[in-house]
Amino acid sequence: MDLWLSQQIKQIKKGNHEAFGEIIEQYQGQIYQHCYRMLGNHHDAQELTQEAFLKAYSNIHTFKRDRQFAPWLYRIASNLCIDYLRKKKPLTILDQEIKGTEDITLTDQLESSFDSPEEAYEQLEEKQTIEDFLLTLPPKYRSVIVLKYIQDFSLQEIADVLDLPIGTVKTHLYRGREALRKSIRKMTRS
Amino acid sequence: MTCKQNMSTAIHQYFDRELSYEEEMQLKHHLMDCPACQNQFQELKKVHESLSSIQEVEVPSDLKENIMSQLPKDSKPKKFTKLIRHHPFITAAAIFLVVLFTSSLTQYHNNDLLYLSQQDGVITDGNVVIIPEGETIEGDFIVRNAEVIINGYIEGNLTLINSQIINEDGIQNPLTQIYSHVSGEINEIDRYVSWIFFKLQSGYDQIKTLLSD
Repeated sequence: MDLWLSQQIKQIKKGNHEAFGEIIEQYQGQIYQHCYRMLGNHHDAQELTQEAFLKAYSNIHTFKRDRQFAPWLYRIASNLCIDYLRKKKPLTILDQEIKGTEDITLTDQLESSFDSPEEAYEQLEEKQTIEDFLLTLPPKYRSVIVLKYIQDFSLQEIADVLDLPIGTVKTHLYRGREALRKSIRKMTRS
Repeated sequence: MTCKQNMSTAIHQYFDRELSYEEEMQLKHHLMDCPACQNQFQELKKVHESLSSIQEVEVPSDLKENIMSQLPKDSKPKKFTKLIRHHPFITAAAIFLVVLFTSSLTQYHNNDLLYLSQQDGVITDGNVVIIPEGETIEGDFIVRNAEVIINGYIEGNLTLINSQIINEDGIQNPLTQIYSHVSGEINEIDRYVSWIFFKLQSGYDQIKTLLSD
């Protein structure tokens, strides 16, 4: 662990809020990406990112010096996301935002621009992207894929974050990619 | 279209760069001959590439602020347990000093009663202590919480704790006027710190005499 980080953590353990502010500054981007890709919308992503940092702060005394900080933080965020998804069955992808149209959801489009539901559904099928398919994956596959592709983690790092054997990480990764492959195939056929 | 050889794992390993050079060559040769695996490979390649091309989303600007505003204040009892855990000896010493301080403070304040060294020939009247004319006190004389009229003589030191010298009319006497009545030093103690100092000094003197005896 680098010097800067260990000094910040020492300060946080003493109750220094400023030091924790620096940690937020450093990691909020990555943690937010993770939550956003796990949950699929900005509202939940913001909520869970905040919760993850607050949990990290109140549990900072359980963080041991000889461990890596980033995997520890990711594990908190990842567990929170998985718990959240387990509790709240995700709504359909209708809630997702379409790329490039920040404030208009597909639901709005369904109501406004299409004459028939059939037409709307076809349009929706075409517009589905890899991000949408990612959100249909079971959370355990999704978290491996997000850590691998969004965060660029190695398989070993993913195993550390999720506290899984590396063999299980590979299995989840392969199955996740296979599921995505089938979704894309289905989409291109229709 | 199915393939008898199960190359699925190898294809996945290829995208994770987990294949050796030989294994990769082997896979590529197989893919050239097997349309089913070639198809799977192409589809996974598309998945791999589109996953890799996912753009980062913008972080809300108020994220840090929101977290900071919700941070718990470090509570007092928690601080205390933390202190004990990290510095048990320092904490113990600090507690000891605090107890010592408060107990001596209560002793200092509760003792409002008149007090003086046991001496013959001294008259006490309420909180007024009178050393009559012609009377000589041998040894140190300590008065606490009293007013003192000295007409006689003290053959030693005079210590006044929360006390003052007055004349017959009850008016405070300047100390200079009574120097002729005291052979030793006159000490006035009217503050807590000097009282403690006096206690320590007399304690030290006692120990010194004890040792020299």
